[in-house]
Amino acid sequence: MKKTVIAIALATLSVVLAFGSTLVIKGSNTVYPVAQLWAEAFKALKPGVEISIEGAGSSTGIKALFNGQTDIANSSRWIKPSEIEQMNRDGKYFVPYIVAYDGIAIIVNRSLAIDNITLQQLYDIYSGKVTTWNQIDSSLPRVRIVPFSRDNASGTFEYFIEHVMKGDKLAPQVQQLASTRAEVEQVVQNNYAIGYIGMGYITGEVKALTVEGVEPTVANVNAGTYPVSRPLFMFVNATNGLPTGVVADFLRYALSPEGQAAVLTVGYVNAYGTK
Amino acid sequence: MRRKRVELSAKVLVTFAALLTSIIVFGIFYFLISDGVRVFGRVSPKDFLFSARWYPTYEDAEFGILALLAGTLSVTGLTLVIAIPLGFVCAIFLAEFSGRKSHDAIKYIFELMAGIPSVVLGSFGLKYVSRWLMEHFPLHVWTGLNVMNASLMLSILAMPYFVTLVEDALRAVPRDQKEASLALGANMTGTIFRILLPQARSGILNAIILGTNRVIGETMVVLMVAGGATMVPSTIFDPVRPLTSAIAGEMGEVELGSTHYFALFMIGVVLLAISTVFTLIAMKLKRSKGK
Repeated sequence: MKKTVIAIALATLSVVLAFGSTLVIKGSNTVYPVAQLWAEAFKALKPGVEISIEGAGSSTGIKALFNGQTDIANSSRWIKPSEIEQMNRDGKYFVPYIVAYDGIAIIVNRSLAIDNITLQQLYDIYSGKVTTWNQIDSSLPRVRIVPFSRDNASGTFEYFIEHVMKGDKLAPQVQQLASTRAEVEQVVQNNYAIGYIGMGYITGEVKALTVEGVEPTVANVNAGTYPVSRPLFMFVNATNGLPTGVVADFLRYALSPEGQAAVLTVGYVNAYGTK
Repeated sequence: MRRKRVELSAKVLVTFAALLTSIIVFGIFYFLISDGVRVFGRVSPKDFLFSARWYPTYEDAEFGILALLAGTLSVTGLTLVIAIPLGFVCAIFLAEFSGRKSHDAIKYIFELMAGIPSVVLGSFGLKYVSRWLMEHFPLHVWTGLNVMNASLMLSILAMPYFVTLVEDALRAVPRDQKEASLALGANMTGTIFRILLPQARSGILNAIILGTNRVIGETMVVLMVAGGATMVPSTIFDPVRPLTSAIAGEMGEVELGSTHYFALFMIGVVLLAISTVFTLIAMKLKRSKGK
């Protein structure tokens, strides 16, 4: 009787030791939604693994990686020169995994006779330098352009400001809406509207423009030719070799066909095959 | 003896509840203000109140709330212009002209109206009213989400509230005054405008002020349909971003302890100040009515 109890206790203990591990993920707000999906699915696969995720920003994640406060640092940007210097000073080596791509589609009403837009034209529209459609293309009517944007809490907004606006400010008349769905709805209703949304949200109700002549497709984002897209990274500390254990398992899951299929559901583009 | 003890404990309980409520209210005031004023260490009060440039998340951030304030005032003002006359007509009808059946039916409709959640009104404005505005006023409406759309939706929200309060004020006018006027040969219209409305004046003003407070504080509707552009509107069809929608839209992602964070709290203080002024006016009116 006693022996059985001890055996059961030992068995429980070993199970806890084997599976009861924690995984800390910090960093980018943009990567956060997909990381959360992966974490949920991963927990279902390996019960006993505790995962904590924070999405305060890419820099916060990399800082936490230096301090050893996180296992994985999500980042929507490449590592900065100052961070490379710090790695040299501290004798540390971080490696990136590209886990997904974020592509931003420029959408207009289906009735508007325009198919392509350049980055310069986008800048001009959103900074308020250009206010009517005929200034973009003389065959278009002389009607006010109605630009829509996400509000400043959104990661898509941040990316747009950084890469299209080059840090410059949006014109006051740009309408900042609280959801992508509201933006799509307005572009459907308004013949002269323009908006930008995550590629995963493109529907047949609106027209997605080619940017600099390149179509916003998963293939073009994967090929790196679509200009308004960026890779999303997970950085890990590889000073003592590539990650093992639960960190490696998590990354393996994220890059698996199942994990990559989840990327599409939150509006990003998969980095690897989904089948 | 036993009754005394019960009474005493009831008294203690009631006093405690009252104290707790006031502590909570003043606690909210305190935390809001103490966090809010910290923005003035980094932004001058003049820039905060009188600059229309609200760019809180850029490298060279700017924190001027004038455009947001203009958004709140324009939406509230237009809502009052729509809801007050309509509400008046309904209230006068309910108080003076309706039979019992029609009174109950209309009351029931207003009760249903009062129960519509603001997020549902917002979705309705986003999907249908914005389309309707663009189709029917193509010369003036360049975007479906604008001051007008928000004011229409807010009117639906404020009307039941307003009608009930005005009707109560009209009903509170002593019956003999009205009957005396009619007995002297005045017709109903004259009686309403010369006797009823002047007599119910303070009650009506009170209704307007409470209704205004309700409209200023409303968040979901304006977040969804006011348009979200940080511009000072020049027509009623321009999009705006009222104070409440700036707080609701941005608070979720703001970094704790940043200038943006304190600025959002200061916007809360501004809203609180506006509504406190209105409440004080309403209280004063009530007191002068007692004289």
